[in-house]
Amino acid sequence: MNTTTTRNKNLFRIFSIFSVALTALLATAPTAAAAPGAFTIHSKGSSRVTFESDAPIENIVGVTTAVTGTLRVDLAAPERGASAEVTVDLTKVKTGIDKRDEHMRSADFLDTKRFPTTTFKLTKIELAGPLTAGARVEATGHGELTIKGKSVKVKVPVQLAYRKLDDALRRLKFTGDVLRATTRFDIQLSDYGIKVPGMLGQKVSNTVTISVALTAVAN
Amino acid sequence: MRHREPTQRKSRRSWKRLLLIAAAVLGVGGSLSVYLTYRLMFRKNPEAVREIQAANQRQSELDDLFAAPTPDAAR
Repeated sequence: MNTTTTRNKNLFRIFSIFSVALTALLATAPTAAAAPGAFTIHSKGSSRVTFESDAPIENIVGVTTAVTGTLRVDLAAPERGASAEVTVDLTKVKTGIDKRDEHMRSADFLDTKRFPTTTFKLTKIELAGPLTAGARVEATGHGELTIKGKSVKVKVPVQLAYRKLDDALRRLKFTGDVLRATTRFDIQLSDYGIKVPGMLGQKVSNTVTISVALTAVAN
Repeated sequence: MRHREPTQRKSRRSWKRLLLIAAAVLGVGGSLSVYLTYRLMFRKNPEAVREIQAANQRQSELDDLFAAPTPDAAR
């Protein structure tokens, strides 16, 4: 009996040590990437949209930081169920010349009284590699761009980068992990029902290059 | 008659010269005023230019930050 009791005690002791060791091992193992997460576009000037018209006589660049929206990305599997909705306030676009901004917002062009915003809805994203903290990855985004009430399907090249909250981000006033997405693509104004008057064709191009830099913070 | 002719010719030449000068002044003056009006209407707004520069500066900082290696990447 004594032998059996002693053997049981030893077995129990071994089992306990093993359990503790296993628990300790699991606790120190690297954790998997974050679960599906929502990121809110940082509105304090960290996101920027630029519109560029390069015509024979004049090169016009309009800039705004009035960008809002959310991005949903599963960092462990970014291509699965990624979505985003980005809204740009067109009434805040500035070219540096008030008269020109006024004309740009008029019914001749953007008609911001009726359509004060433009939106982009991301429906699918294809990545060239994994999205890991500290690294940049190329991707292709599929979505719908709506300008002046007209929606057009677009496919755009995107560069994604993800950074966990650290001192460098804190210095820039961020309070959470940051996902950064940048893209640059061309649109034709005529696709959105915007006609460039013949006379202005030398000053405003039908092809406009849009550059987007979004900085979104984890919720 | 003879000593009238030179006077008449001189008089016509003076008028022609005056008209030419007036046309030149109006032409230059008119062009200048159109140009200045255009420049005034389409002058840059210094505050807007500063806002644009600040936005671009912020983006440069973020571009530099995300291009820099992080402890996560180093691991």
